[in-house]
Amino acid sequence: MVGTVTRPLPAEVAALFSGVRTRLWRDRFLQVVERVAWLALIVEAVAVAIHLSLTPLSVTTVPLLVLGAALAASVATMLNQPRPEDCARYADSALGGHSAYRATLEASDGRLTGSPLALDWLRTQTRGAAPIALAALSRAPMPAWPTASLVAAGTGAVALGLILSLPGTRPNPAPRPLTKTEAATSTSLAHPSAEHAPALDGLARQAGAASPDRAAGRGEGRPASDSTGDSGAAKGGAESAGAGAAGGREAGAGSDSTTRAALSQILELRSRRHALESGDARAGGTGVADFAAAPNSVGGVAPMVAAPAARPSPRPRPELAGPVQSRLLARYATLREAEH
Amino acid sequence: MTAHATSPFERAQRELSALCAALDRVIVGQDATNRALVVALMAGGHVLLEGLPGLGKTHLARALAGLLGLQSARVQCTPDLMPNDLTGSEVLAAPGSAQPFVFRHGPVFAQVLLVDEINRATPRTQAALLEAMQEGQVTYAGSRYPLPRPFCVLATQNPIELEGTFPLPEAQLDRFLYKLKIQYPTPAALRALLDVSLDAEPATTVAALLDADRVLELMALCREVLLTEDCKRAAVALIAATQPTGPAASALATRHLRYGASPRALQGLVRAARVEAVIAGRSHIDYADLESVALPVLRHRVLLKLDAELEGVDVETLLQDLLRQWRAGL
Repeated sequence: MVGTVTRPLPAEVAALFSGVRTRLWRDRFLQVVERVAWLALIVEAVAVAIHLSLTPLSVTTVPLLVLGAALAASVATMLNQPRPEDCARYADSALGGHSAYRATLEASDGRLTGSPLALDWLRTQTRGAAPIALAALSRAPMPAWPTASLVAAGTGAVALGLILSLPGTRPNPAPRPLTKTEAATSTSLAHPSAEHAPALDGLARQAGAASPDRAAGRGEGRPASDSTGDSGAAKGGAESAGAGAAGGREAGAGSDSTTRAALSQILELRSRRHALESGDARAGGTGVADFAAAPNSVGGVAPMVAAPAARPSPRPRPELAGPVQSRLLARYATLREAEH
Repeated sequence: MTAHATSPFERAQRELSALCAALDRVIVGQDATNRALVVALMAGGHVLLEGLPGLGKTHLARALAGLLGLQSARVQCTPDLMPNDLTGSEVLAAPGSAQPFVFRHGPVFAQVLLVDEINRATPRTQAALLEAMQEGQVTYAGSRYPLPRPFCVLATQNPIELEGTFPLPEAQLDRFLYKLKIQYPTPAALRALLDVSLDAEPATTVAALLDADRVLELMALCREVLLTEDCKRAAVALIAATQPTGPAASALATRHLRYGASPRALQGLVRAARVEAVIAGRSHIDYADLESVALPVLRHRVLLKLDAELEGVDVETLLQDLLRQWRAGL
C-alpha cells in the first residue's frame, strides 16, 4: 500500500498557489519598500551629520544613493519570487489548509510516501478546499502601504535637501598653533619695538607718499593675488605685492624703490601674520591689496592690524603654509639686517 | 460531500467521532480524557490514568470496552498479587487429556485490561505486565501465548496514599503511550452526572458501536496517514527540545530537566497524531495534531532535576512552555 506516487498538482490547487504567490509578492515588495524607507531616513540623518561636521556633500549624492538602494531592493524582490513551498505554507497557515497544501505539494513532487488511499483522500480534500481558500484570499484585506515610513523618509529628504543647499554650514578648522619662531616674528610685527618703530613709521610714510605708484603696482599684482589653487599660484599671491611694488618702481622715482619694496614686504608679512592668527595659512596678497585700497589705513599701524580681522575668513589653504611662511620669514630677516 | 462518502477516512472519522460522543454521554464531564483514550487505543498504545478515587476511572475503562465490543478484564493490584495471577498458570488437565497440564489464561488475555492501582503491585508483577504490554504475548514455562488483538492496558494509579506502593520505574512508564490526568468535573458536568448515573451503571449497558475487527481496520487505516517532511521535522524538534544534553535542547530543558523524551516517545507522538488526524477527517498530519497529543505523550517521559523540584517547577507548566516555544519556532 505504501509507495511513492507522483501526481501533478490539481488545477484548483495550482490556481490557489498562483493567487497566493501574487499576494506574497506584493507583501514582500511592501516590506522592501518599508525597509528602504527607513533605511533612507537613516542615510539622510547620517548625511546631515557628515555635511555639518565633516565635509560638505552634494545635494544630488544622497538621493542618488537612496534611489539606487531602492531600485536594487525592488529588482531583487521582483527576481526572488515566492516558491511553491512558500505558497503552500501560507495557504496552510493563513487559509486553513492544516498542512494539506504542503502535503499535496510534496505528493506532486514525489517526496511524500504513503498509501494511494491516503493520497487520494488528500487530493480530494485539497481540490474541494482550494476554491474556498482562494475566495477567502480574495476577500482578505490587502496589505497597506507603509505610509509612516514613506512620510518619514520624504520629510527627511526635504530636510536634507534644505540643509545641503545652505551655504557655509561647515565650521572653520581650528587654528594651527604657531611655532616659537613664528610667534616671535608675529609679536615683533604686531608690536614693533621702540628700536624698530621709527624705521617702520618712516617706511609707512614713504609708502603713503608713493601711493599712486603702489596703486599702479596693485593693478598689476591683483591677478596674481586672486589666482588660487596650487602652490605656484600661492607663491604668486605671496609675491604679488612685490610685483606691484616693482611696477611702481618702474613708473615712479628710482631712489626710493628699495624702500617701497621693503614696505610692501612688511605689509605683506603683517597681513600674513594676521592670516596665521586667524588660522588662515594663505599668503597675504589679498590682505595687502585690501589694506592698500583703504584710504585711511596708510601710515598707521592700528588699522593695519584691525583690517584683516574684520574681513570674512578666507578659504584655508594649509598646504601652502609651510613654504610660504618660511620664505616670508627669510625675507623679513633680510630686511631686518638691512635696517640694522 | 456525497461523492466522497465512500472514503475510508471519512467513514473512520464518523465512527471515531461517534465513539467519542458516546463515551462522553457515559462518562460525563471528561470529554478530553475520553477522546484521548480513544486516540491511545486506536494508536495501539497503553494508558496510565492518574486521578483521585471516585473520578470514574474504572467506569471509563468498562465503557470503552463496551462501546468497542471488546473483551475487558479488571485486576485490582495489591502487594501480594503474583505474576501468575495476571498472566495465568498451568493447572492439572482434566482426566483423559493428552497433556497433563493445561495453561489457564489470566486476566491479561483480555482486549481491554484495567489494572487498578498498578503502583500497589510488586515490581515483579509489574514486570510481568511489562512484557505483555510491550511484546503482546505472555511467556510461561517456555511457551509463548499471544495476546488477543487489539490489546490495551488501562492502568490507574492514585497520586495520594503513596505509602506501601511501588512507584513505576522510568522504563515501565515509558511503555505507556499516554499518561492522562483525570480532573474533577465541572459543576455543570456534576449536575449532568446525576441524571445519567445516579442509580444505574451505564457503562455496563452500552451498546457496542464497533467490534474487534473494525477496530483493527481503523488502527490499520490510522497507520496510513501521511506525514510530511515539515511535520517530521517538527516532531523531531519537539522531542529533541526536551533532551537536556542533546544538541537541540531548549534552554528550559537544559535548566530544569534531568532526562528528556526517548525515541519511543517520538514514535508514540506520531502514532497518536495520526489518529487525531483521522478524527479530524484528514489523511495527513498537521502541527495541531502533534501539539494536541504532545502533553499526554511527554508528561511521564521527562524527569525534573532535583533543583527544579525544589524550586517548585511543574512538569505540566514546563512542557506547556516548551510547546509554546516549539509552536513559535515552526
